[in-house]
Amino acid sequence: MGQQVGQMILHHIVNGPEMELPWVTDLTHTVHLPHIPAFEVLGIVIDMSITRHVVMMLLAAFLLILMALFVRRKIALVPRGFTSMVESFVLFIRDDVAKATMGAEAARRYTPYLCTTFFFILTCNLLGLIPYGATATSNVSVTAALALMSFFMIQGAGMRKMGVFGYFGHLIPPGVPFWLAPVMFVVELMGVFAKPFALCIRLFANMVAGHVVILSLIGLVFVMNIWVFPVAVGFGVFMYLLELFVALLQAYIFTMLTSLFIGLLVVGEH
Amino acid sequence: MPKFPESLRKVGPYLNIGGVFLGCMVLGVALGWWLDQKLGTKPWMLLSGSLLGMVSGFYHFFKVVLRQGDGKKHE
Repeated sequence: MGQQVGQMILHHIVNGPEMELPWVTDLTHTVHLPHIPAFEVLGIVIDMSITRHVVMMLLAAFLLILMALFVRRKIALVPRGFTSMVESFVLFIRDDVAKATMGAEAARRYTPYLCTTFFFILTCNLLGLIPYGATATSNVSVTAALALMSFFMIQGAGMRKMGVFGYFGHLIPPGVPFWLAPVMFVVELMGVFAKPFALCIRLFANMVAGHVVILSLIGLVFVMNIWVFPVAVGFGVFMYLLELFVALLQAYIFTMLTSLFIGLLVVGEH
Repeated sequence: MPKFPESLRKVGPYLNIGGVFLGCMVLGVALGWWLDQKLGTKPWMLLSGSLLGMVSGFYHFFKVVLRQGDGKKHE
């Protein structure tokens, strides 16, 4: 039984070519998603098949476009309801994240990107918490792609500010003896790559961990005894609520750290 | 009392310390391993890569910690 529970947990976490839907009246509620044959570009095999996580990302993007259109239509001096909620999020990112880390001028340029990341990650995280959903952000490829975009955004901001050569020159801290300069350059370069790597791993690990814990707690009922259900379900609900918070927090942390790294390069000598 | 976003922002730089520490080491080891495969210098690149990873991990750790301490002194 324990092994089956393990398989069930794994099945819910990993990406796959099929998806469960409530209105499919099959015993397993499963639909198979279209498979696109893999092709090769420059020696790299690319598989563009639609998987569960791709569907979830497309859904998130679709929902966000709908949200943007809706909010755009309802724009007003004193917004009400949903528009007001979205506005408070956007204002929070603009004022408390972007302006606070990079100053008003740069904030205007980078707020759209930060808002996009924030809302996309948040929507992906929350879509994973609804029944039949899947968490796209618990796929390391998705978080790696998000981190890669942040990486280009951060380096692009730095190069825009300091120029390409100025940017690479900035990697060597001032006042370093010349024999140490190449070593420092490599060490700093490692940091440049390690930062987005950390972003990617943090988001991925947080999203996977929460889901594994919830499913394991529910799995306890099947592994141990039916009478552990009050504890298992109680803790499960608690973890679920915690996950709601974590979904928001991780989206915020990803956005804030991206903003912070852009700020460190844009604001100049710290 | 500092507001919640305010304190989260202050804690921001520290949130990444562990990740960057880990990231530097993983990148160093991966780079060394990859170079070993390419150049056929079996253990040496891996060893120097790990050393480089450790050095840069500690360097970035202390950079964040000491810079933040400095900032507080000037305030």
